[in-house]
Amino acid sequence: MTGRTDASPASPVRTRRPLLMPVGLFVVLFPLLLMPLGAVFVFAFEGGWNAFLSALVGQEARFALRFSLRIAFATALINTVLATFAAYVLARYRFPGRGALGIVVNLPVAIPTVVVGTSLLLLWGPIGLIGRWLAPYGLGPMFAPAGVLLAHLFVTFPNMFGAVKPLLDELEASEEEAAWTLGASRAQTFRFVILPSLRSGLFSGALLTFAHSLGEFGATVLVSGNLRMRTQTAPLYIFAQFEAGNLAGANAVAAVLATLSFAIFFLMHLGLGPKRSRD
Amino acid sequence: MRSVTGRHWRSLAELGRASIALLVVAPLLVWAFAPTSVSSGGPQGACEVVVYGYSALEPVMNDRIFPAFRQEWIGRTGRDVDLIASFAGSGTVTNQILFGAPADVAILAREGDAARLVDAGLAMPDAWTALPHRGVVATSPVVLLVRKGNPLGIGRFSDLARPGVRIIHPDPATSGAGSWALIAEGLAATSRLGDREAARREVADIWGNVVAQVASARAGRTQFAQGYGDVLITYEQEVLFDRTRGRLSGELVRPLPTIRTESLVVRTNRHRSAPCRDAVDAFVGFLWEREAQSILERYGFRPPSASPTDDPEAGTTIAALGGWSAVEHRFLREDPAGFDERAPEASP
Repeated sequence: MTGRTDASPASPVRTRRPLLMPVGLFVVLFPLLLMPLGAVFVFAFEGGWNAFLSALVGQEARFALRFSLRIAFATALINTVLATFAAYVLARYRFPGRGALGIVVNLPVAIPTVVVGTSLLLLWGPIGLIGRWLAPYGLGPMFAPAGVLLAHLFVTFPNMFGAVKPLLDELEASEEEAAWTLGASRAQTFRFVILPSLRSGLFSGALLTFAHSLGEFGATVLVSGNLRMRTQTAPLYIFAQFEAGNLAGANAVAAVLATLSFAIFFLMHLGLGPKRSRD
Repeated sequence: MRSVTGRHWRSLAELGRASIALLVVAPLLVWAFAPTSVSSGGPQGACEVVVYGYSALEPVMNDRIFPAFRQEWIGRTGRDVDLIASFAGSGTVTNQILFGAPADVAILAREGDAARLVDAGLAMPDAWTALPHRGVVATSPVVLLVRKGNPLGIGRFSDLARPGVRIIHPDPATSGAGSWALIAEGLAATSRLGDREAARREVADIWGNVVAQVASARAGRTQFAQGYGDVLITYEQEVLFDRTRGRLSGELVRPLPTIRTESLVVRTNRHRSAPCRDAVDAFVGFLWEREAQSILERYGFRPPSASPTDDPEAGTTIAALGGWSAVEHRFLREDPAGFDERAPEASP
């Protein structure tokens, strides 16, 4: 029989030409996604492994990668705490303005990152709302690593929040109440009842946050000042090298970033396992 | 129904996955946070000098001038100095400083940008005029880079107005080279045509041929090298630098008359305390010393001041045209290409 079977997720669609759609998908994705990535790797290894490695040996390249990694780890860590806290409060407490706050915490997704950068400058820069009080003392996070961290925290907040909130929403309040009736404190309840169910969300959220921070450009380019060996992240380094005509250096670091991102998503796929459901 | 206490590992598979995750994450974590000489604040007792420069300066500063100064400073004082820099179009650099970038020294491509710093209170009015050669550390005329063999037969700025010529032009809003190019185009048109209206139309025609408006001189060079456009307007220094490295992707054309651009050193008001303030001042002074000037010369720059023995290819100086304000008013402010929405605020 050549008719279509019931196309539930578990069973493949059966047609007369089973390869047509997959091939079609490949044809569409190839120039869109695969070839550009391939181009980066092709150009990065144009001179062979030696050229590739020597482009990474320079202290600027290494600093940029290191700095990006540090910011990414810090962003993931801080946002794990902050976003989980925000998700918990928004899921478990009723207060006026709750709905509006729930929308506001997801705003960074909608705001162009360049706008995030300008808004941070307008807050913390020397003419900024807060910055004007700090500037006479030479203080201020802008054009310093702290500014980059602030920008990344802002931009990646919805990643973690969006990963954790739905899980919290689905969690039965009865389990928490059971724990309380058994004498557990709020902290214990959180740690032993709630946190384990959030694990997959925390894991995927952390990875998304990390990957997003690694690649963040729009806000970073404005707030970092692009100081070599101080505030130049890997994407900024790639951009600067590309603009200066140093394609080898740009592509080498780009290839490393791309590989890191692949590794992260591979991890995520691995870590979340064959199914997303809890037992 | 889940147990209230939860379990740690649901299966061996999960433990395996977590181990792989750790295997990937742990080395990254260690490498990222391992102390390096930079992260521990640099060599002990080192002063930091922060330099923001326009794009074309990046190679000569990073490769030669910074190391040379550092060597001289260590030799002279026994202390180390950390030169931290950021390079972009002159306008971009100025904007960054206006927004709080911690620059001790700004090396700009336009006096207009320096004036903006003064207006914002970030530099003294004599921040560059009190320096040798009124703050000019090097000069370079505006030239054209065409494809090998000069297939379009371009020899003058007016040739750029011909239909079908595709020009890579720095953006005057962010790039000093952009403003200088506009001045050169206006100067060439005015001196050839005499009539201001006709000159303005010619500049407008040139702008009609711009296919890429790049943020800085260096970015323009990269675009051209990648095969875009028929002609690039840039500093002579950029072309000579590429030529000495065998990396020139075209032919140099010197249209006359042209303008002699100036690289301006501005000492900002950024507050520095005693020992490091000397390092900043020493760096500024170093730029006019024999060693730095010969490095700049090797990288294709011309000396800071015009001399009577200069060839006409060196270009007309700003001073000969009446100073920056006059030139800016005449060639930049009056909407030379008729593109009101865009670049008229090339400088204040």
